[in-house]
Amino acid sequence: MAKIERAQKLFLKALKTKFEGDVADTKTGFYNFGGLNQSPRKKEFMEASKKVELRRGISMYDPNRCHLGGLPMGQRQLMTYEVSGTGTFVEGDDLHFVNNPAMQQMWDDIRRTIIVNMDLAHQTLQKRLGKEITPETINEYLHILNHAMPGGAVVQEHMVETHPSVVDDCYVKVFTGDSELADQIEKQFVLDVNKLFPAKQAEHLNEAVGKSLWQAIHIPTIVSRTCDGGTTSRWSAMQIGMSFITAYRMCAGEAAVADLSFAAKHAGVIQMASHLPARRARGPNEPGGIMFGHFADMVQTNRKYPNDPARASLEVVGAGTMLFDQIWLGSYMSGGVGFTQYATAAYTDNILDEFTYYGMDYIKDKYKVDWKNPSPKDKVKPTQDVVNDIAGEVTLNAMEQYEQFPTMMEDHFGGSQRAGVIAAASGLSVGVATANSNAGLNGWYLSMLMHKEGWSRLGFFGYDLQDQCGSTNSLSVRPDEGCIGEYRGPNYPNYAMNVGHQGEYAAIVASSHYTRNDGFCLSPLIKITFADPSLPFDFAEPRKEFAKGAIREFVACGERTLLMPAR
Amino acid sequence: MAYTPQYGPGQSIVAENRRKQMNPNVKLEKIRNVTDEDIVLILGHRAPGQAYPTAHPPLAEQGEPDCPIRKIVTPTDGAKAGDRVRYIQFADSMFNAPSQPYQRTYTECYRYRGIDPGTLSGRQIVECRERDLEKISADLINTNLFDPARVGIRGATVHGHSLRLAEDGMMFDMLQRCILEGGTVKYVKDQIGTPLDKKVDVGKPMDDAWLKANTTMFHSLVGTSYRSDAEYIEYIQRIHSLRTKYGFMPVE
Amino acid sequence: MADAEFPQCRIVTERLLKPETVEKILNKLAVIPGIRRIVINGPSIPQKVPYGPARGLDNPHSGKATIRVGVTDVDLRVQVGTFLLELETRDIVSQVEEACKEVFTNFSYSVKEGKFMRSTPTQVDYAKYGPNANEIMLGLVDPKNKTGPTLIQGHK
Repeated sequence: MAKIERAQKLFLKALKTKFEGDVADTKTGFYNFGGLNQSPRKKEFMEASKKVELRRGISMYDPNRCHLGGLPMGQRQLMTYEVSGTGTFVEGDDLHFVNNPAMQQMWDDIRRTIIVNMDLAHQTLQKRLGKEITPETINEYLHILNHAMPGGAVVQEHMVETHPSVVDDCYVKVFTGDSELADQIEKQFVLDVNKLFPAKQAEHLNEAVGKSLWQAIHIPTIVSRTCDGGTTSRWSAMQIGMSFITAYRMCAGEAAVADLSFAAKHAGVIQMASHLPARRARGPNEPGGIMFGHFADMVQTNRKYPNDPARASLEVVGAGTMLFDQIWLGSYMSGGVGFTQYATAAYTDNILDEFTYYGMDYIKDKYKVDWKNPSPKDKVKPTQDVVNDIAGEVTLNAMEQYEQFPTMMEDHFGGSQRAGVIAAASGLSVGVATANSNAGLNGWYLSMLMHKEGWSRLGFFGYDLQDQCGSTNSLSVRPDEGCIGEYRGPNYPNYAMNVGHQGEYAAIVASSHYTRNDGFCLSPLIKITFADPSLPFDFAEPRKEFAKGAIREFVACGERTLLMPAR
Repeated sequence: MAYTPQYGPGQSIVAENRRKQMNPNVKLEKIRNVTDEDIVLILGHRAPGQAYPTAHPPLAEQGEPDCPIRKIVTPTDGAKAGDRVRYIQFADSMFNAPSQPYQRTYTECYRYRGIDPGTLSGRQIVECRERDLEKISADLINTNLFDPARVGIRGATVHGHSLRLAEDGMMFDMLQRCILEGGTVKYVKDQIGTPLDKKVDVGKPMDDAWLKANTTMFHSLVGTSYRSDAEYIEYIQRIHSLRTKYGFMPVE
Repeated sequence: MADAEFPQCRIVTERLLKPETVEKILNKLAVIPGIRRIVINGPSIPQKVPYGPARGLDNPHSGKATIRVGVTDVDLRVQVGTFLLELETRDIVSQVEEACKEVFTNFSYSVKEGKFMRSTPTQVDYAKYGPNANEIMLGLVDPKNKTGPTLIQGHK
């Protein structure tokens, strides 16, 4: 057996940058500072030891004399993980959502978000009440709304109010495709599409949003944690109603208020997730109702790194497996403590990343897809042969990598981990090559069949269940039997119960748009809303944020300590 | 037209081995001779010589309802006697173990009646009536489906299929149910890890050449690479393509 | 204290090792000046049967031996297949390679430089050690392990 370890391609790149030299060099100037004394910790040991020796008169720590002076050695059955693409090493436990405030905040930021149209309300005000709507009145309204949304009182005098410090994450901004209108609204309230997005994406978004005006609303984290996702639209609608009444000096009881309410609660509302059937018993804005296309729009990596659709898709995998596997299936649905181990396989140790970039090289070499310059122009027609070829090659390569490098096989010691990762790389490669989400999903299912036959094993029962019948429903689109990938989601009939899939499916959908440099996948409104730099969680860097959460560097919202005696 | 099962595609030795294991007309190659008593010890469900505990009275005594299906299906010996349902579970190393989880399941389904196999990535379990199980287990252990070093009989704590082998060639077992001693593998614990009063010898580990020639798993480093069996790949892709097409319910 | 970045390397052997081999290589490594800390890694060998019908029974296992490194006894809890080393300088990688060459004669192995161990604390460390964790101890044992690392002692 010649090879034991895989080449850590991505790691070596990072190392090279760090040491600014050839990593094959055995000598570097970096450490030549004087032996033991270069280590601040060792120096500290020696100083501390000297004090103890003076006090007790017996010699102690002396690494120069006894070079075996307490060499610490530990035993581990599990290894630390590197959160892929971050260089941060963490423990599995650090990636459990309960231990990781960044993970919690990512989900909080989705659940507490609602998008509400303003045009309907403006029409009511103009046509029914004859009120004038101007940029000035809109600014006035937004000032009032940003007072009311976190829980400040308007209209009535004797209302109780929330403490501003516990709801400091709550605010409202607006956006429109009409640059002229956007320019007239106070900067603090505007999500400026032209500034936030690369030109091509901005153009696409502005065109899609047009002249309509939308409110991107984030209710307080603490509210959505205490109540639920269904609260978000209700809480926001209540404050919207009150703010309109105040801003436009309406009579609180007049009938037009009902129209404003209807617009804010129903007609003009974009939920982040649709409500679920009774057997899954959740309201809107809960994870099971998020469509993959919408989730792909929430993640913003393609906005920040438009020239790397693979990376952007891998961030969707990370964010998606965290939300759908760890939180949704792992806890909401199963009632367990979360399927962390399944999910982390897809966003740690750069394994999926390496398989996926192999796919990128392959589609570039064979199909001339210039994936680093995403555009609709060079995409390959998604025929069955193309899907079979790309997914087949990526699957074979990934299987061979596991075979060639036993440490990789031991890292992903269970079949489910391997199956998810191999199929994801296959699906993403097809998605990027063809810009067709269903072709990508079809590639995933071919990968599953090939994997199972090659190794005579696959994953846990869920892989047998949905992945053996997936070929059949991946391209046909008929009610209750199939759907285009963008509209599928964790509640899609065949996907509803199996861990290790949904985040990857969302990423396959995402890849098919990122590869075209589309401004959005399914909803321009959601794409713009999550581009907001004021959000506590940075949706452009989910994996980096998770890593920060793991090493105690992420500051989440919904804090209650202010309200309690100090511990 | 009578259908002749083909058992699977492929031109490689792996494909051929798979077909041979599945095809009930091919006799499994007997390689070792673990006695019935020793198999009972490894299984750990009952003491050798102990009567079979029952889950229900013998069928002849309990009065069968008038059911056409029961008339068609001849009960197995174990079912007839009312035996409990018991199990044997295998962990197969990915380093050329002769049988592998799905392969085991397919093979058992073709060769045995009254069984309930369960297939996972790291282990494969088959359940059936106890006396039937002992007979089937004898086949599974004494023939070319088994290798003493790279197949583990493990009722629980099965971790090992994806790990590197130990220095002595044994697959890792956190309960070390068997040890290599004097050139042969001896079970010192039953399949769930209870120590045995006597060591059960299951024979000499097969050598690398035999394993490579008899395995049913593709492996590009230690065995036959999957990629090299073009017919196999083509066939799977064909199945996938046809299934995809069938999603549209093409009119024949 | 400034964050010092120390080089690391990883030894992976083709086979999972016997306790005697682990003892041999560790004694070779422990006398190389400039190794800051070591993690040995492999599948766990539990004291008692952890799951299944035999749960709670003792688990006799030849891999669970006590080995002697320097003058320190080490109770092995894993079947070792990987060694992670943190080094004072990269220069000593060649000495590590030399030690491996002497001990691993029946099977192949690889020695690789890279980043393999944690050197900054995570939530797990905060929960375990509080805010002032000693970074030399970080990540040396599994988070749930209660016994902690061993301090290998010995004289020239």
